[in-house]
Amino acid sequence: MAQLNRHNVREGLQRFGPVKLRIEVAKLAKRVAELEDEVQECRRDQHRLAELTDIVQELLVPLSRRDQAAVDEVLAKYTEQLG
Amino acid sequence: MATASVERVDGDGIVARTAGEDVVVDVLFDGRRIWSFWVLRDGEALPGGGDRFIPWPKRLGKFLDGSARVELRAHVDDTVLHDQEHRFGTGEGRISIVDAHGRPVGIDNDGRLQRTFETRSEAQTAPLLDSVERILDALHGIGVAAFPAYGTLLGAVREGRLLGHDSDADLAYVSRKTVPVDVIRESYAIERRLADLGYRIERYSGAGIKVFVTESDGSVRGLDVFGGFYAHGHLMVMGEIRVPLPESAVFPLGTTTLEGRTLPAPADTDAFLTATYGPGWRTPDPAFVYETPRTTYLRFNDWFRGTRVNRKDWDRRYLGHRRANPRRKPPTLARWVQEREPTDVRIADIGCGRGGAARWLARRGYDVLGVDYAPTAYEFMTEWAAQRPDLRLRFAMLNLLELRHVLGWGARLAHEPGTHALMARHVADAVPAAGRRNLWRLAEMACGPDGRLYLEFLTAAADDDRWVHRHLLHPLDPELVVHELGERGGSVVERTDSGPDARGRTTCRMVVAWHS
Repeated sequence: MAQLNRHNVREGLQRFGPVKLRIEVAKLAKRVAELEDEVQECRRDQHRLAELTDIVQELLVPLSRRDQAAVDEVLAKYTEQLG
Repeated sequence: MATASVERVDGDGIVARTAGEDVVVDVLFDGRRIWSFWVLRDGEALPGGGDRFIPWPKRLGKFLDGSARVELRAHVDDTVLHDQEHRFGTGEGRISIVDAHGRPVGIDNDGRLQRTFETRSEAQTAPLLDSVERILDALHGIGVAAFPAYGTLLGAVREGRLLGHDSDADLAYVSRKTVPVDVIRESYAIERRLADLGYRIERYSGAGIKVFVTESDGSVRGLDVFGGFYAHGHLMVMGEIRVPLPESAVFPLGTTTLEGRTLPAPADTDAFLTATYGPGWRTPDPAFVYETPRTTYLRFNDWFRGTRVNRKDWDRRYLGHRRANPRRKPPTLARWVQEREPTDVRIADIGCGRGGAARWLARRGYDVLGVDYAPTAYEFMTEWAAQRPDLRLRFAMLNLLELRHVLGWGARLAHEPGTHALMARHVADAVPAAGRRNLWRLAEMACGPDGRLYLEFLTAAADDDRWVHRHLLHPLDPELVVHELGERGGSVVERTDSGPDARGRTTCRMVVAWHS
C-alpha cells in the first residue's frame, strides 16, 4: 500500500478532483431543476387562488344575507358570462 | 447601409447574400408585397460562399403554380434587388394569392396567411378603427386605462397609420395591481363589466381577453386586450413584454394619432416601444419575430396560461362544420343513459362537441344541457334548438381547465331541482390531468347523492391510430379513474370494458354514483 504523503495527496486530488467537481455540478444542476419546478408550482397557485377568490367573493354577499334569490341570480349570471 | 443581392429565384425558394449586416427583404408578386424575410436570420447557409437559401413559406407553396412578376426589394431603402417574370410549376395563368373569398392575402410575421392592412382600402379599415375606439371607450368607461399596443401602437407612433404588414389591432392596459392573483381577479371583473355592457368575451389567459364587436357591415371582429402590470421594477404585458421600466413610461397616459384618430397611448411611447421591440423600433421590420426570453414566457405560462390546452385544434376542426347538422346516430353512451335514467332526470353532456348526442336525448324527452369549452362546436345546434322551443335543449360554455367554471356550474346544477345525470364521452381521456380532476369535482357537485356520472374513455389504442390522434385522445388506465373517483367519494356501480375492436381500440364505460 502506498504511503500517504503530500505528493500523492496532490496527485490524488488532481486525478479525482475533477470527478468530484463533476459530481457536485451534477448534484447542483439537479437541485436547480428541482427548485425551478417548485417555483413554477408556486406561481401556478396564483391562477387557482384568483379563481377561487373570484367566485367566493361574488357569492359571499348574497349568502351572508341568506338571500337565495340573489344567490341564484349571481350563479346564473356568473356562469352565463364565463368566456 | 447594409446591402443584399439575389442570386436566384425558383420554385424552392430564393438564394441571396448580404454584404455584412442582415437585410430585410420584401417579396412582391405582380407589384403586391406578399411576404418579407431576413436574409441571414431566415436563410440557410449554402456550402462554398456567403449564399443563403430562403425557402418559400409553407403556406405560400400551394399558390406557386403559374406565372408572376417577382420583385425583391430591400424593405428599408426600397432598393430593387430582383425584378423578373417567373413561372412556377406547370400552371398557365397568373398566380393569385387570395383567400377563399378571393380577397388578397399575404404572409404575416407569424407565417400565417392574413388579409394584411396593405391589401385593404381606407373604407375597409374604417370599421376596425371604429371598433378600436369603441372598445377603448368601453374600457376607459369602466376605469381601465387601455391603449393601442404592439403593432398598432408602433404603426401609430412611427407612421401615424396601421402597419401595412399587420393584420389586426391590439390593445393593452397596465394594471395598478402588483401581484398576479390580483391582476387575474381584476381581469375577471373587467370581463364581467364588458359582458354587462353587451360585449361577448373570450378569455385567452388569466390576463388576456378577446372582445368581440359587431361592425357596421354585420361582421364580427375580436380584438385582443392584453393585461399588464408592474412588479419588482419590471413592466410586464401579456404575451411578450417583461422589462425594467419606470411607471412614468406608462402613466399618466398621453395620446397618439392613428389614421387621423386621437387615441390614448403610454406616456413615453419611445420607452414603451423600445420595451416591446428593442431600440431598433424606428426601423421598419415587416418580418419581426419576438425572441421572448425563457424566463419571461415561463412566468407568463405559470401565472396566467394553461386554460386553453388543444383549444386551437378543436376550434379549427369545428370551424368548417359550424353551419352543418351533426349526425343523428347516437353514441352508445347516450343509449346507456336512455336505458338507465327516467326522463325526469336532467342530463348534462360535458364536452358535448357539436351537440348530436344532447339533441338525441332531448328528443327522447330529457331536459339536456350541453357544455363544451369550444363554443364554435355547438353553434349550429344552439340555433337549431332555439327554433324548437318544445325541446328542453340548451348549450353553454364550460372549460374544465378553469376552476371557476367548474365551481360556478357545479353549484348551479346542484341547486337546480331534480336529479342530474352527467355524461362525459371521451372527455376524461382528452383533457389534461387537471381537467380530469375538475370533471370529477363537477360531477360530485352536480350529481349529489341521487345523480350519476356516465363515462366513456379509451383504455388502449394502437400508436398509429389516426382517429385517436385526430381527437387528441390519450388512453387512460381505468384503475386510475376508479381511484381518482374514489378519492372524491364516487363509486363505480356499473362498468363494461370492451374491445379490442377491429382497429385495436379498447374502451371503458362506467356509471358512477355518490353516496352521502
